[in-house]
Amino acid sequence: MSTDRGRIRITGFDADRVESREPLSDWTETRDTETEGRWTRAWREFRRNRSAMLGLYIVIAMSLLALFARPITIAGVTVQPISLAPYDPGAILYAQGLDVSAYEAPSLAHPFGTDGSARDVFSRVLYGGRFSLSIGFIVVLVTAAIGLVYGAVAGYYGGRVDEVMMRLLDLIFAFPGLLLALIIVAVLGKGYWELVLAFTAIGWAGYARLIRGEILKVKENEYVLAAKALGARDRRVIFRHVVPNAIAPLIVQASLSIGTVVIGVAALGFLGLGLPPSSAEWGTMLDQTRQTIVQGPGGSIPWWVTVFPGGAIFLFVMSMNLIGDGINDALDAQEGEDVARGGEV
Amino acid sequence: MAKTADGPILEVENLTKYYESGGGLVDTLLGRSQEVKALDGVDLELYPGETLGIVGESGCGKTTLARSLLRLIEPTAGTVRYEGEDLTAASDDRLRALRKDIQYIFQDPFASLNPRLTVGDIVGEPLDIHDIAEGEARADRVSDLLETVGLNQRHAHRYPHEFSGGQRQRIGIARALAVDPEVIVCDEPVSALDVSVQAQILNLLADLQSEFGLSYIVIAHDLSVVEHIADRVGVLYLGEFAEVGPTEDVFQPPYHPYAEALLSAIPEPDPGWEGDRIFLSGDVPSPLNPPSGCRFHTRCPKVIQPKGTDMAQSEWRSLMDLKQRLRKADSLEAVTAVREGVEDEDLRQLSRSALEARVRDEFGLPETVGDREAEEVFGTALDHLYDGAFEAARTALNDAFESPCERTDPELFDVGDDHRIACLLYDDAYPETPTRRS
Ligand code: SF4
Repeated sequence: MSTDRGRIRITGFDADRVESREPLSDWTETRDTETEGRWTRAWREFRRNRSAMLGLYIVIAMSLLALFARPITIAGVTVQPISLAPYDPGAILYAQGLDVSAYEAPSLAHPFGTDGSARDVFSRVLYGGRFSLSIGFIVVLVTAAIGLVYGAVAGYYGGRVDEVMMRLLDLIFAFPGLLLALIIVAVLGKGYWELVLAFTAIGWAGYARLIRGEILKVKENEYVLAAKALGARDRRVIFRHVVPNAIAPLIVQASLSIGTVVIGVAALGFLGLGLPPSSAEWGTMLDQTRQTIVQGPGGSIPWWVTVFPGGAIFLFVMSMNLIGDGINDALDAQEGEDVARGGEV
Repeated sequence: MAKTADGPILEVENLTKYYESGGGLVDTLLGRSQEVKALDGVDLELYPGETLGIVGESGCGKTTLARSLLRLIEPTAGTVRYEGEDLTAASDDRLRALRKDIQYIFQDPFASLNPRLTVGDIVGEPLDIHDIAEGEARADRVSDLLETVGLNQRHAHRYPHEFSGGQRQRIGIARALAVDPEVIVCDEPVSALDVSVQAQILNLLADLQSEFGLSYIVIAHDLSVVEHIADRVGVLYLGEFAEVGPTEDVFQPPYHPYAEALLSAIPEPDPGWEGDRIFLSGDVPSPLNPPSGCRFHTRCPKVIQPKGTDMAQSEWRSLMDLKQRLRKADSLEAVTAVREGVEDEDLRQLSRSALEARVRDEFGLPETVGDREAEEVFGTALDHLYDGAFEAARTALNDAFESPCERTDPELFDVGDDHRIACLLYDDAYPETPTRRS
């Protein structure tokens, strides 16, 4: 018996050269299919989701219809010659010598009827998609980008920087969103870019707060420290390591809020603060015809002038929400998959 | 590898890291914030080609030490010199360049690899950052590195979650090797891995060391890991070194009492081994308020008895425990043994003798303490406790039982060639401490 340690050696620790290094035990050839990237996986997941795909098809269809509604000319050159809309959306048809009066019910010649100025509602609804959709997409893109950078900087640097930047956000959150947009439009005047600006001004704050929260979580991960230990600059650490791991909720949020922006634009339009009265923007179209909901000329109610633009808004917003939910599920499922496969990511 | 004639490649002096705790702005203004002394004046040298092991329990400042070395955490004070250049004074750009020479391997191979990047991009990242290789050359270098650590180049297109823990740690090692470093700091490189894989990773590290002439600082809580990989060992306790020396010397007497306790806890596969496991009383104290004097005195089994006291060491330790427990507690529950199956009993109803029995029971004290004076003091303290006068009991104990270890913070005393121990037992000023008797 002895109290000397080490009379028996654990052979595994003998630091002889290990000829056969770890045989990569759980590596079987069946797993040797090509590795899928994160987005490929998410897309596969998304495609399985029927309602999301339906939404996607509708949005694509509406975008294409809007795009091809009228020819597009840039600086005198026609870049898109196709014209799906049968009439110019702004044209007052009887003024062009056509046999059309105001508030004509839907017919073969005018599938959505005509409005109070004898304009073809079908053409206007098709063409109007250009305003609503493009504002929706542009605003969300710009706000998400601003919010991403702002939130990333605040969250990553933390401390006093964060403190100051977050107080500024609080300032913006202190105003009710749509009201602020309304004030901005009232000050700047009506117009397409004024609307974009108004919605951007109120929209980015939400993204900034969302991404900041995510980044506060993600930056605690050791791989962020690992990147610093390698000598990476802050910019690289933020945009290669922190943001890609924090961005999923932002994408979901962005896809869901395209619809919100479109509704917001329509709401301003309805309040008469959107685009100029004669423009074919959906909300503005509703505004132009809202008296008719109560009572049209001659006692009849020309439902078509409100139902079709309203229906277009509804269809688009619903589709966007379906897509947003689909993205949410796809990205969520992916996180789950990581956990299941990686053990403890 | 023994020390070479060259100077140290890494020289650390007085490295200190205090954290502010409770630190809101308001607390700071009111002077309410406290300092957590995570690392308190650590000195060390690393010589080219050697492995320095650093061991300690969790919460002793190991990771803080490892990270402050590379300025991943800004140290509060002290210098870290790499080949003579002070890292703590380097500009950000210079520091980034120096990261090519000093690399870091993380404990958790799951958290330290970005799940969104392929293995090829993870290993190739340092090449991009330092513009070491591009395009074809980068791909070649990545395959080389993967082969070096025992992975297949085909794995470059896969994501970390497709690998096991051991494989991931290899990826982390490949990433650290990419910049061709001189020094690698390994923070618990194997503690997150299965025992069967640990040996493989340690062997890989040893292989790489001889292949590339690396110097390692290996942080571990597991002494058996350090024993097999380190040339020299530093034992860290509450942010200070308790013992430093060549591995064989640290693993043999003379010991620092803390190192001895840690060593006794290593499981021994030999059924004929009769060494006793030394149990340390109490938990690791909070670094928020580290003990005075020798930081180990609250748990040290060999805590020194004052001059003129003479009793069995275990009794002395028990009396110290009682004293320390009373400092923090204001109730009889804290100092009496719990009776099985009895709940909500009112300890104040106990008779004087019953109370005494319970206290002796809790601290493992015998019927009478070996030293007569001590026995008297104990009796007085119990009288006070019985009267509910905690403050008086405290004073009685404090006055009578004060170890020199509580007053003097031992420096690192030389006990052999390059072997130093921070314990008063090895100070010549205490040549014949009663402790030696036990
Ligand atoms: S100085 Fe005292 S308390 Fe500290 S280790 Fe030595 S004997 Fe123990």
